[in-house]
Amino acid sequence: MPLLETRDLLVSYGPKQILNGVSLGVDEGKVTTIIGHNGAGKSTLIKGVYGIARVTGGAVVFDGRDITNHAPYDNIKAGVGYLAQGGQVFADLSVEDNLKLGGYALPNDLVPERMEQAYRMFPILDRRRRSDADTLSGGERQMLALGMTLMLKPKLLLMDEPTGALAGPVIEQIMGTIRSLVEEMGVGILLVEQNVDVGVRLADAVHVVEAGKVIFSGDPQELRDPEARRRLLGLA
Amino acid sequence: METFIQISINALALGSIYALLSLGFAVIYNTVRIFHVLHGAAFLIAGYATWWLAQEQGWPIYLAASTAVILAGASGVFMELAIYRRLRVRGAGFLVSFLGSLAALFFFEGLLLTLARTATRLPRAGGPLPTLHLQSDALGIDLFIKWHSVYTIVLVAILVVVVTLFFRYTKWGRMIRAIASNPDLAVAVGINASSVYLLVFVLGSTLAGVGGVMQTYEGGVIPNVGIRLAITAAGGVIIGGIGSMPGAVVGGLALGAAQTIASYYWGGNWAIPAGFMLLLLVILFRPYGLLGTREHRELRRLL
Ligand SMILES: Nc1ncnc2c1ncn2[C@@H]1O[C@H](COP(=O)(O)OP(=O)(O)OP(=O)(O)O)[C@@H](O)[C@H]1O
Ligand SMILES: [Mg+2]
Repeated sequence: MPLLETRDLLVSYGPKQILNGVSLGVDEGKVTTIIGHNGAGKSTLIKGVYGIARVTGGAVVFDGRDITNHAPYDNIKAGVGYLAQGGQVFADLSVEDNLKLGGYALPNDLVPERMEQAYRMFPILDRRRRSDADTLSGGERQMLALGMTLMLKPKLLLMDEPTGALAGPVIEQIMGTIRSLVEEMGVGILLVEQNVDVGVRLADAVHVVEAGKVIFSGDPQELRDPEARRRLLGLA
Repeated sequence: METFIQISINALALGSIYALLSLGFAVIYNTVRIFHVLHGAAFLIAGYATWWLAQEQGWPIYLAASTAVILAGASGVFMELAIYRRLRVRGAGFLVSFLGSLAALFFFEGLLLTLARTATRLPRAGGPLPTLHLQSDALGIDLFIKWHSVYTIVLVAILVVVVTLFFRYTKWGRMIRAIASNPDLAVAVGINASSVYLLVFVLGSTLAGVGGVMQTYEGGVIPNVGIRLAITAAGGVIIGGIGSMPGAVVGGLALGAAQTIASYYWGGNWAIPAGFMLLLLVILFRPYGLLGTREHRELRRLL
């Protein structure tokens, strides 16, 4: 049984239908990567799973339980973590306050310990505890955003473009973090990536979304080769 | 010297009340992002409740005043649930919410006019307030300071400190700052925005209520000050710098100072024009406000 399953998921914003029946799964300790053009509905898919965008049809099943349209708070409690697109942090709050808020849904007595773990994972944050988050670089911001999400020790992690707008060693570091989450802690990850190369290298399964539908599902092995990618996806 | 001290104290006392109103307005605006002119109603509720309980019902003034503040705070719950939450659910934009707020305030002022008439309502027997006589031949000082001014300044200072500590060090304070800073992310970490909004309305309205009680005790209350005080509160926020809570306090104090100085030198009729002239000058020449920074672009764009 997959850790997460979406069944014919429908999401619309007002009259505008965005997801037209998306079915996919994420297994424990595996990465499912979603690739697609801008506006294809990748973020909407993740938001629908997490309960931020209203699901109008189909179902989200996590750990064998129907969690369709459950509020984020309940999803966090159940073990679902969410990393929003674009390095979202509380810009005018300190790094420390950001981490505390990341652990908002945790029992209070767990927060200090989890914070220390986050600092150990991202030492750069440790040195900037008291700084406002908007003084961090783009990469540091993404570390903070990831640290906030990892405060919760999720079983399933929904990641919306974790390497978006980043370059170089930061990408490697984030990929390393994702690998260790998967391999050492058995986290299941639904990963949206613009960076096809990164997405494919991490993936155990790949789905391509176009206009709110899965138009291609496959084995990442087939997509390693850029030539094959172009042929199969029309993507570089 | 004497004149300077006298004006300073009067300016601080009036400015303190404006600072409370502005702080309440800022707390609500920064979080909920509505131009909450109905804020003036919390002031009126506190003022009229103090008068009615103390004068008409014969309650001891401290009991009347405390009850009035609680009523003002509770009115915040009503404003959020009966008006703003409904507007939000219907997807009302900034302007519609503002008009709804204005309509509710004018409705309330009209209601007060019908129920309590135009008379100035004072929650105490008339006559001058007790004063503190400061005299020192060495310093060449001979001053009469209203005790009420002293109480007001001290009380407001304490409240500002308490509110600051609340925001900085409590979980609820952090939740409010989180929503103000990044509402989408706040929801994503599991914060229930609706309950934070409710808290913010109670907090903001309570602050306005304290202002209402202190102001009314000294000078009484009439129905149509609601709108003017609401705009004054918003003005203080803009003068201080939108998005900055210390700015709101500074802005309120600046308005109090402008009004006091103008009325001292040119007469009482100049108080209100001077306050709004200050607001206009800040908008024209320092649109970020005195303490505002570029960080708060996002908040300013809404106004
Ligand atoms: N809150 C919203 N209200 C209305 N339309 C929206 C909303 N959010 C997204 N959309 C629309 O839904 C469509 C899909 O958006 P989505 O954010 O899911 O795309 P995406 O695949 O994540 O794109 P990107 O790669 O640019 O992040 C877009 O056309 C977008 O304009
Ligand atoms: Mg997206």
